[in-house]
Amino acid sequence: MRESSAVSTVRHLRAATLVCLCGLILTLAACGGGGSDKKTGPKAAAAEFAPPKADGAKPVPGGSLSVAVRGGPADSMDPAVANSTSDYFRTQAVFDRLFQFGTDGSVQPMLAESIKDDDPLHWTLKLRPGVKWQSGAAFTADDVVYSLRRIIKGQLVGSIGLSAVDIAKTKKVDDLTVSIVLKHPDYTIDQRLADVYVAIVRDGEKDFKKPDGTGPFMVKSFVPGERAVMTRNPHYWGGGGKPYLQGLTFVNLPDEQARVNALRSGQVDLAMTLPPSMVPVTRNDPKINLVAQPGLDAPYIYLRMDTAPFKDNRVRTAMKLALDRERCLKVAWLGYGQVANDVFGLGLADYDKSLPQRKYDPAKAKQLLKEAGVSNLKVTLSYGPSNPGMTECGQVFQQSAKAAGITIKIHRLPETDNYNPEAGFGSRQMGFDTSQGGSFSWVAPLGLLTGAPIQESHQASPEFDRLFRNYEQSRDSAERQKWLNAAQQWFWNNSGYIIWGYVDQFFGARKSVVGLDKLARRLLNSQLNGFEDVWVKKGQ
Amino acid sequence: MSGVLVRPSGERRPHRPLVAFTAKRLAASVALLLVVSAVTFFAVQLLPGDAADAVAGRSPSPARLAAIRNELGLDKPLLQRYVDWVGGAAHGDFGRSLTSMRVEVGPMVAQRLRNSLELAGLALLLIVPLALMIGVAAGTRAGRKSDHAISASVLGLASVPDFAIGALLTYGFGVQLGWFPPVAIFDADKGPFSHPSVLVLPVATLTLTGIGYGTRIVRASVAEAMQSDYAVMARLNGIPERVVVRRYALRNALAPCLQALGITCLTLIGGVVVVEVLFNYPGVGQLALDATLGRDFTTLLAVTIVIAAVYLLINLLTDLAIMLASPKLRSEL
Repeated sequence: MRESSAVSTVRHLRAATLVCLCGLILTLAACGGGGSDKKTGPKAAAAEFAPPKADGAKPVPGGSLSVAVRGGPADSMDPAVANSTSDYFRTQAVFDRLFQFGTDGSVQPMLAESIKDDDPLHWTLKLRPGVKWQSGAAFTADDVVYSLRRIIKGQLVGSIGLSAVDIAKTKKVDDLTVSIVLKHPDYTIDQRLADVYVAIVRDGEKDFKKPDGTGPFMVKSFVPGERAVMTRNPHYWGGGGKPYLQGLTFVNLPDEQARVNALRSGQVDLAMTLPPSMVPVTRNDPKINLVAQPGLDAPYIYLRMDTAPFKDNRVRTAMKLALDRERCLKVAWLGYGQVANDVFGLGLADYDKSLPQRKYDPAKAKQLLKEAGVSNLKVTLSYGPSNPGMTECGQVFQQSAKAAGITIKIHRLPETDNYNPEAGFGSRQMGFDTSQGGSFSWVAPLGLLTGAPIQESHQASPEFDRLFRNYEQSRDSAERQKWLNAAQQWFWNNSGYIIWGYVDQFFGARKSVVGLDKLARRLLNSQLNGFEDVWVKKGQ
Repeated sequence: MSGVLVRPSGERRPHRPLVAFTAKRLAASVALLLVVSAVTFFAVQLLPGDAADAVAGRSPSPARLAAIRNELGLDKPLLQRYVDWVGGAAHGDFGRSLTSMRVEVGPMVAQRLRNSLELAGLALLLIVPLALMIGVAAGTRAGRKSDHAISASVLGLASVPDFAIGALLTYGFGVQLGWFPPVAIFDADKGPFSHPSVLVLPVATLTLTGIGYGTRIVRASVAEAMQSDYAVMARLNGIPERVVVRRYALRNALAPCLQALGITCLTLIGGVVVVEVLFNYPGVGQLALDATLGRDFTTLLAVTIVIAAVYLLINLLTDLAIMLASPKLRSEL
């Protein structure tokens, strides 16, 4: 009996092992996609993953769309404290700003028609007439003054760019005119008013569970961490029958695979914020269109400049030369994007095109380290993988830096601790971050000027501050560009930032969804509006 | 006659022993829940950061952070915060979420708990009869080829992790065939039965992962009972086999089967958490994960207490059921 039970057990184990192996093989096959893909460069992505055309059809009003976004438990409908890409999608569907950025970085009207200086410290802001809140009340200068006061006095993140504004003296002149008074000259004030954090809310608005906005959609219900249900704003000022959709629902699906699965099965119509790793899985699905948002993110590595070893600029430059950027782009982003040059704003109109492209040069890096007296440098890269590609790029950096005699130890944190001050954010020797299409002039007040609130590299350079302030305070545009170029050149030569690439992001849409050109435009300074152009083609 | 029995040791036996036993266990459970809440509360404080970091937005000024901490009560001493929470919880007030726009925690957790119980309950409704049927089928054919085939399959299934089974089902039936939704999207306050199809794949995952243990216990118990002296005697007396199975084998295998059922229920609690995250199902498991990531300690405390209470209740009910099925155990109370 014992022998037969032993034999029986062995047979069971053999059979069980076979079943497990089959299950594992099937699982791995299920997780696999359509094979690897090696298309590289922005042209390849833009051409292959262009937004679908309507083939001459005119926009059809009606229909509702469901949009899968990443989301999180700290979701907010307050545009002044928007904390994530999904917050930006939601709040920018409901609220507008005074100005917005064109794809080339130029400032364009939105709720304001113009802003003009009467003298260096006094500006007159003219508002767009005929704009109504979703409730039907008229949009006036009172709303603008309240919004600016709320942001500045509450020290919300938008106040960083508005540091020149003297809010006590800024006041309404009439219903469509605001007098903005500055503490010192700032000719970038129009850019500051185009910041996504400086959205305009209704005078007195405090409760953002179901806020009133001027945007194309209004909130019907909002459950943080789950979904936001919106309906068409009948009073929207955009004209042309926009928005075309009757309803828009944002659904939180934190996992990117879940967003793709929901899209492929038809549970949602759009799945936003898909990393390139989802491209092989979805590109051949006949039911969906995959759309590229070129140059969406600028992932970067920062080095702390106020302590050794990165206090020495030769060491910082050596680190910049020790990263194989091409390989980083291929490994971390499957080649979807372009190599960047350690300065924010690549490709924008005000980017200094004279800057030579920095390339991987471990020999030169080694030479610089020798001159600085720190051969065989050992450093620690600390980060939480809050954005795709960080882990892969960290590994590439670790390997490519070895040729320069640099040993990089990777200290990986939980994802949510990447920006957590109590987990070391602001005091790390080296770390990872991402700029969502931030222009140079947008990023500088946030983190590059002395005393800026985001202290990653702890840059505190009187020379850089002087160059940038001259840029802000120059009235003549050619003069401003000259100072901005000088600031960018200083930054390229001296900063603690390794901005190695501008990477593409993707989103997926069911075949029937068109009007996606605005959503697919190059992301700039976290602008993520565009749902007012979206509509559904019949018969698809 | 007083109705009070005296045990051989001289100790008096309670008038209603099961009631006394239940009352003692409930009292102990309340004390245990208090300990669990204290451990959870103070353990969460060890995590870096707090809810103020989560809601303040990017790069808040120190003054803004301080204002948020004051608004959320995070600047009070730890012990005072814990005592305040316990005092509120004793009256059914679990406070407000620190991150989700200050919604009341009690109704939020209740809604999610209902969703989780519906999910787990449906899985259990499938696991129990399936485990019984398959276990009896294997146990009554112990040693034969069919028993080997069933046992190997069940063992294999139990060896595959739940997330792997879920991923396979999602890909096959959800994405490729499109028969069932691969993600559980529905209004959390309306419950999953507002869109019943979202339950299919999560319930199937829980069932396939939960059926293994129970089936093996039923199989072993039935196989042992079928070879017992009374079963053999019953056959020799000409009693039909199915009557032998029902009246002799199953009845005597009941106690270990109930124990297996209890353990399956406890395992389901853990499985539900994984499945909820896998399918984005809005239950307490997903809520616990979100609360941990967002340092929302009021929500996390409430969820922990709820899960611990469910755990203790299942243990108590399992023990009571085994006692009811076993006169010998009842007499020892």
